[in-house]
Amino acid sequence: MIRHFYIVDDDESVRKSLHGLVRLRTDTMIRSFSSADACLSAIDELEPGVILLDVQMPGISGMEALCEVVRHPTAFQVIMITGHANITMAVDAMRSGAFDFLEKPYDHRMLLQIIEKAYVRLENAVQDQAGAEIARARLASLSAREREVLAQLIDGRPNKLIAHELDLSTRTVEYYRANVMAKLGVRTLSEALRIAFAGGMLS
Amino acid sequence: MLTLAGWLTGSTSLQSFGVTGFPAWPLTALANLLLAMALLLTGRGYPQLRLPLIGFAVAIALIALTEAIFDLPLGFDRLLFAHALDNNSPYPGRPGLLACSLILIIAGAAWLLERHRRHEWPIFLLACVLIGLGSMALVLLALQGDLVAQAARLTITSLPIALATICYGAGLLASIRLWEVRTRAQWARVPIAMALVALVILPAVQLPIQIRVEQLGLMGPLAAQTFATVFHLLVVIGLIGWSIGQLSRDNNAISEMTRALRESEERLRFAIEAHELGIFEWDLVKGRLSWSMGGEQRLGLAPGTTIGLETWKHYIDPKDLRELRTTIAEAADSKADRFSFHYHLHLPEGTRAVEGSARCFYNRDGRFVRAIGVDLDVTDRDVREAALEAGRAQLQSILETVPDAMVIIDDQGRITEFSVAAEHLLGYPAKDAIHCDISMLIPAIKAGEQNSFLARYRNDDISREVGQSRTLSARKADGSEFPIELSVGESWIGGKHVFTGFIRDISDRVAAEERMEQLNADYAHIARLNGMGEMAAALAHELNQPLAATGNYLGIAEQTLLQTGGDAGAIEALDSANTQLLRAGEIIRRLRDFMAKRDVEFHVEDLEEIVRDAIALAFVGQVQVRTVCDIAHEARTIIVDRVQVQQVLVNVLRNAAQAVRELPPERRVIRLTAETADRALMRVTVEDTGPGFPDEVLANLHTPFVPSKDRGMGIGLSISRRIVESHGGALVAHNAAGGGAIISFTLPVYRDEGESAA
Repeated sequence: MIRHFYIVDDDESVRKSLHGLVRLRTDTMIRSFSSADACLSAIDELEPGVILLDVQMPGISGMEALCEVVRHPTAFQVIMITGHANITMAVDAMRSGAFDFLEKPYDHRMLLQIIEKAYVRLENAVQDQAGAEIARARLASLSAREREVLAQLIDGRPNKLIAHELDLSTRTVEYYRANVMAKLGVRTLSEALRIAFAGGMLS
Repeated sequence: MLTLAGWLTGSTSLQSFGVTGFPAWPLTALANLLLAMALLLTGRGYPQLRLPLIGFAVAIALIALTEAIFDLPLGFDRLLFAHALDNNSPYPGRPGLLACSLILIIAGAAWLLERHRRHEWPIFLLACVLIGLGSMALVLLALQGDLVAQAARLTITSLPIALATICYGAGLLASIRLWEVRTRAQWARVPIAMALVALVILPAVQLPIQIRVEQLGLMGPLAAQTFATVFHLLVVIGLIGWSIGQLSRDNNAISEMTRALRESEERLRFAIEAHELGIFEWDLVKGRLSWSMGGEQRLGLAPGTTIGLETWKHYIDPKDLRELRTTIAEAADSKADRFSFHYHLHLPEGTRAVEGSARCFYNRDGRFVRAIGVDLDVTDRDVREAALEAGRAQLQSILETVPDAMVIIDDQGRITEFSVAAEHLLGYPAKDAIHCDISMLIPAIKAGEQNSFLARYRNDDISREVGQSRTLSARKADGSEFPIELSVGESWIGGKHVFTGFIRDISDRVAAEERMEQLNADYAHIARLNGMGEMAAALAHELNQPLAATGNYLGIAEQTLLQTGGDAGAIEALDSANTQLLRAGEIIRRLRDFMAKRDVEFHVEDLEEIVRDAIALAFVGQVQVRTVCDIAHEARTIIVDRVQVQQVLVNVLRNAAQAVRELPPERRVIRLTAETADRALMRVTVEDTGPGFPDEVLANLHTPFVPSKDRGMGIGLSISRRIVESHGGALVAHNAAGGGAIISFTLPVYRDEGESAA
C-alpha cells in the first residue's frame, strides 16, 4: 500500500531535506507545498496521508491550516513543526487535532518514528472511516419506521413499550425489528447498536 | 459858647474877644453853637440828630439875611439879650451878611458831610471858602480903623466868628477823606487840594496887607497894587508850577501804576487762562450769576453762551446742587470767609466737572449778599483720576484673580505687592509678606545673588532676562519647599524700578515629568529587552531552519549508510554530528527561553491609564495627531503585564502616527476603541487615517525581518504580536475599506466573578 506524505514548509532547504529523508522508504508518495494556501487549495484532490505542517509561514499560518485540514472529510494525520515553539502553541496544536508537535531542530530518528506512528493512526482512521461509511450506507437503507424502532431500541426499550410509544401493535414492532436486523446484517442487538454508533446515529 | 457866656455876663471882652466894636451877636453865636453841635453829633455817629440843629441855624441865617436884604426890621435881632445890645452898630444883634453866609456854608457842609460822604470835593471847596473868608475877616479885624468903613460891613464879622469859621474850615478839611491816601493814584489830589487851600487863603491875606501898606504910605497906591499883583502872580505861578510838578510826578507814578496794574491784570488773565480759571460773581440780592470773560467757554460752552443762575441750576447735577446748597448754607451760618465746591454740569456738550472756591461777602446786617470766586474745569483731571483709580482697581483685581502667584518687589528686593494667589500658594497673608525680603520666599535668591540678580536688570541686560523664566524652589510659610517657575517682568512706577514676579507652582509638572521619565525608562528597558528577545526569537527561527535541514540531511546520510551497510565509523560520525546539531538547537532554545523569561507579571490594570501613558510616550517627538479614545466600561479592567501591554500600544500608536504624518494636521486622526470580544477577552482596535499597510507587510506579518522600509514595523509588530500572544490574545493587522491601517488585538479581561482567563 502506498503511503501519501505531504510537506508544507516555506523554507526550501527544509522541504528538500525532508523530502530526501522521508523518501528513504520507497513506498512513500511525497508532495511538497511552499505555503499552507497552496496545500489547502489542493486538498480536495489529495489522498489520505500524513501532513508535515510548519507553523510559521507567510499567508495562512500553520495553526489555521491545521484547523482546515482537520475539518476536511479526507483522513489526514498532521505533524506540526516549528522554528520556535512555546507551550501554549503546542497545547493549541494538540487541541486542534494535530497528531504531534515538533520543534526544529529535531532528531530525524524521532521524526521518522512519529511518522510511523502517524501512519498507524492513519490506518485506523481510514478503517474507522470505512466502517462508518458501511454503517451509514446500511442505516440509510432503513425505512423511516425502522429507524424509529431502532432509535427506541438504542434507548433500551422493550418491544411492548416501543409499541405503546409508536402507537403500533407488538407484533408490528417485532416485524420492524426483524427487518432492521436483516438490513443491518446483524444478529444481535449489540451488533446493531455498534453499527448505529459508527453510522453516527449516536452522537 | 464863650460868646454866649460873654453876653450872659455882659463881658465885652468875651463878646468880641477883645476886638471892640465887632462883637459876635448872640444869634450868630447861637447859630454857630447849633452848627458845632450838629457837626459834633455827626462825628459821634448820630447823623440823624443834626438835621433839626442845622435847620434851626439856617433859619436864623435866612431870617437875618431877609431882614438885611429887604431892610425889614422884624425885631428878630433883639430876641436874645436885647438889653445888652448897644446901638453902636447900625443893626445891633443882627447877624452880619458874612456871618449869615458863613452859617449857611457851614450848614451846607454839615449837611453834605453825611449825605454825600463819598463826595469829598464839595465839602473840601466849602471848607476852603470858609477858611478863606475867615482869614479875610481875621485880617480885616486886625487892620480895624477906617479900613473897616471902606471895606464895608459886608466883609467883616466878629473875631470869635472868624476864628470859629477858620476852625470849622480846618475841621471840615481834616474830617473829609481827601487826605486818606490809600493808593498812589489818590496821592495826586493831595498837592492839588493843598494848592487850592493856599490859593483860597492867599487873596484874603494879600488884600489886607496891600491895604496896610498903602495906609502906612510905604508905597503909592499904584505901586502897592502892582506889588501885590506881582506878588500874587508869583505866588499863584509858584503854586501852579509846584502843583503841575507834583501832578506830573504823580502822573508818572499813575502811568507807572497803570502799567503795573495792566501787567498785573495781564498776569492774572494769563494765570486764569493757563489754569483755565473762570471767575464768577454771584449776587444773592439780585439773584444774578455772572462770569468773567471766557468763563463759559472754559466749561466747554460755545463762546457767547451765557449761563445765568437759572441755566446754571438747570445744568448742575441735582445731587451736587443739594450738596452745594448745604455747603453754602453752612458757610453763611458760620460767617465763613470762603467756601469751596466741586460739582458736575450736565451740559449739552457733555458733563463737565467743576471745582473752585469763592469768597463770601456779607452786608452790615451780616447777611450773605455776594460771592466772588474762581472755578476750574477739572473734567480731565477727574477723568485722569478715575482712570488712575480704575487702573488701581484693575491692578487690585489682577492681584486677586491672577492664577499665578504675583509678587512685586522694589529694587532692594522688598515685597511691595502680594497677590491673593500668592497668599494661597505661599501661605503668608499679604500684610505679613509685604516689606519682607524676597529671599524669605525664594531662598535661592540670597542677598548676594539677589543683588546681582537685580543688578543684572540694572545693567541693561533687561532684554536678556525679562520674559524668561527660571526654575527655582520656594519656601512656604510652614517651611516646606516646592519647585516653582519664576518669570520676572520689570517696570518703572513713579520713578522707582520695580520687578513683577510670577511664581507658578510646578510640583505637579515636576511630578508629571518625573513620572514620564520613569515611564520612559521602563518603556525603554522593556523595549530593549523585547527587542533582544525578538532578535533572539528571529535568530532562533532563522537558524533553526537550516539546522532542521541539516538534521534531515544527516538523517538521510545515516539511513542510507545503515541500509547499505556502510562504514560504522561514518555512521558514528553522522550520529555525533546529529548530536551536535541538536545541541546547537538546544543552545538557541535556552537563549530564547532566557530572553523570554522576564519578569512578566500579570495584574489587574486599568486600560484607560495604560492607554493614557502609552499616548504620552508614543507621541513624544511625533507630529500633532488627534487621538480619539473610546473605551467601553466593561472592557476597561484587564489582567495584563502593564509595561508589556504599554509597549504594544506604543508600537501600534507610533506606527499609526507615522502613517498619518504626511497628512494635513486636521486629517491626522487615530481612533482607539476597546470593547468586549468574548467572555474572557476584550479587543483593542487602533485605526488610523493613513494610507494603510503595504501589501508586503501584510504578507509577512509574522516574519520579524520583513520590515517595510519606511515604516519600521517589522520588529515592532512582531514584538507586539508575541506580547499579545503571551497574554493569550491574538494580534491581527489589516487595512480598512477606506484605506487606513487597522491593528486589533485581544487581551484577557478581568471579571468580578473571577472567571478571568489569564
